[in-house]
Amino acid sequence: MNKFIIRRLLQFIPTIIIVSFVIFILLNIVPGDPAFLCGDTRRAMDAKTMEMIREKWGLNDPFYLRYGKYLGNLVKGDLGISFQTNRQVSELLKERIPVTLKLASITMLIAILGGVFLGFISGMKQGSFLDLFCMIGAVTGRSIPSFWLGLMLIYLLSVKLNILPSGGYGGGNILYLILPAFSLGIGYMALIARVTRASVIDVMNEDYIRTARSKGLSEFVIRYKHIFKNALIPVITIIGLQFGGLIAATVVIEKVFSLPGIGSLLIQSIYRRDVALVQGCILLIIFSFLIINFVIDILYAYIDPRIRYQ
Amino acid sequence: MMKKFLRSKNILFGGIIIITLILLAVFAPLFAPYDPVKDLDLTRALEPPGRAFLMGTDPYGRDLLSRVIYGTRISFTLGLIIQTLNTIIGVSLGLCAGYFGGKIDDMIMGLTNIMLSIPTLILALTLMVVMGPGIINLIIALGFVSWTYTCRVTRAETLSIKERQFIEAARASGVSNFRIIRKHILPNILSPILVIATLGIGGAILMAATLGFLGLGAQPPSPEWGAMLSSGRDYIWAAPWLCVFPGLAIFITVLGLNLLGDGLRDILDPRLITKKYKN
Repeated sequence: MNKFIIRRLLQFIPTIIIVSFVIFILLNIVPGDPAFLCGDTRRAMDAKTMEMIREKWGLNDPFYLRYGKYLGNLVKGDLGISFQTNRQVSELLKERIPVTLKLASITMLIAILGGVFLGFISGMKQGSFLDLFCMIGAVTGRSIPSFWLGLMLIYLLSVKLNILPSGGYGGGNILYLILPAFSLGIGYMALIARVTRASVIDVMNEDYIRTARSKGLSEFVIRYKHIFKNALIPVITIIGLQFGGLIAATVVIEKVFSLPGIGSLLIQSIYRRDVALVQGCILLIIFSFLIINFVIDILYAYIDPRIRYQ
Repeated sequence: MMKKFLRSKNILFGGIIIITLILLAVFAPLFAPYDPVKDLDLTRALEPPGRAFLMGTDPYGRDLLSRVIYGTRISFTLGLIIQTLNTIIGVSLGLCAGYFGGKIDDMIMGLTNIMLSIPTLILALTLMVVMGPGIINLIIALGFVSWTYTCRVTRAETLSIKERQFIEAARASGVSNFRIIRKHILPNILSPILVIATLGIGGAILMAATLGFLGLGAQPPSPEWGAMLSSGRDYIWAAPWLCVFPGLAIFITVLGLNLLGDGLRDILDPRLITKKYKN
């Protein structure tokens, strides 16, 4: 097991370095001089001021030196200073992280609970009306754009019925996160329901279920102890695969509901062309994606020993 | 084979939706009552859906129905071009990696792994930041980010076909590598590629609309659905129809393509069928 973790860790570290390099290269060939953006964009700056700003931010250094410096600071957790707000990028990110994390966790909770429940009951009653209903729901849920669903929910529940807030964070009040989490979660829920259903149907036809039945076990025990537990394995796989991308998916939904998370910070900084902040947000999202995937890999190896030797 | 196609409900429904939408896109000027961009008239701004304007009008008094119909054109064109680019890149790299193996395989798979370690939306977003908003840049950004899945499937299929005897026979009779790939391998791996490509068009349309919604893709006044939703968001209290119809159009399009892709997969990918009907 330890060997496996070390091997994965050795793959993980180069990936992080390469990815941060790719992002750094991409964002530092952005057309438009960052020095120009630091100042007052409404007035033309004289050459002397521009030179001063360039010197201050180290924009005169050669490319590789800037990357080296950036990487060095990155290890220390220093992501540079936002050009527009003159504050530490890491500080700005820290303020926003809880919002995004909270949204992502509630989304996942809704998706897992709803998806497993619907998939399980429709798998058990294959071909029934309920099954048909759930499967139509799963096809619909997969195709519906989350940002449009969000807008429609705002219209129905906030504008028309006035039950839930239409946007904003409300200082962390859970009511403000219900609609965003639901709009984002429905696609994942559909996927989880589909996988759960297929897996339940597979397991139901296994020999050990017939054995359990012929032993005379009660239907309750068979359902929840034999079928449910075994059917969950592929479901866990799919949940793991989806969870990494969830942080990236929050970007859109945060814009719909004006939530002050990493995603809306990213979009704002793109509009303002605040390169350091864009870079910080993107790296944070990618790192969380990689770290989640890394942890999930380790978890799998723990659950299923066969993976360790591949 | 044809019977199977006709019997599949997924293909039937998906096909009807997609054919209708393609007809709308091709003959947009015939169906749309107004010009989507130029027919401005502030005296009829924000009219609710009614007899004169089936889907209502936007803040500039443009007919929403016409804009949604022309949006079909943009979205389908974008989806097709983007997915064609992705398929060409994915298939070529996958074929090379699978057929030649060794160093080439390592390099291509290394590149694929780096691509996979960045979420697609974030990579596309980064490219859009670098290149600036606009339709052409959108095509470039999206055309180069989601080929990884095609590449991996192509590589795996190529690996398994490469070992078959008819490839060995072709090689023994002195056929060139390029010709073996083109004449013997490619035709044998077409069906999974077709399935992935069909499902990918839906994904590409959705991604293009997402970037449009974030303000990084097509720019107003272009009647692109995502961009329309983005500007409609500000009017959700006063004119909800501006949000309802463009989004509904995205939903129906993606739904149709997903149904079609699922149906094709059931028919063309025999391994999945055996898995499905094993019991």
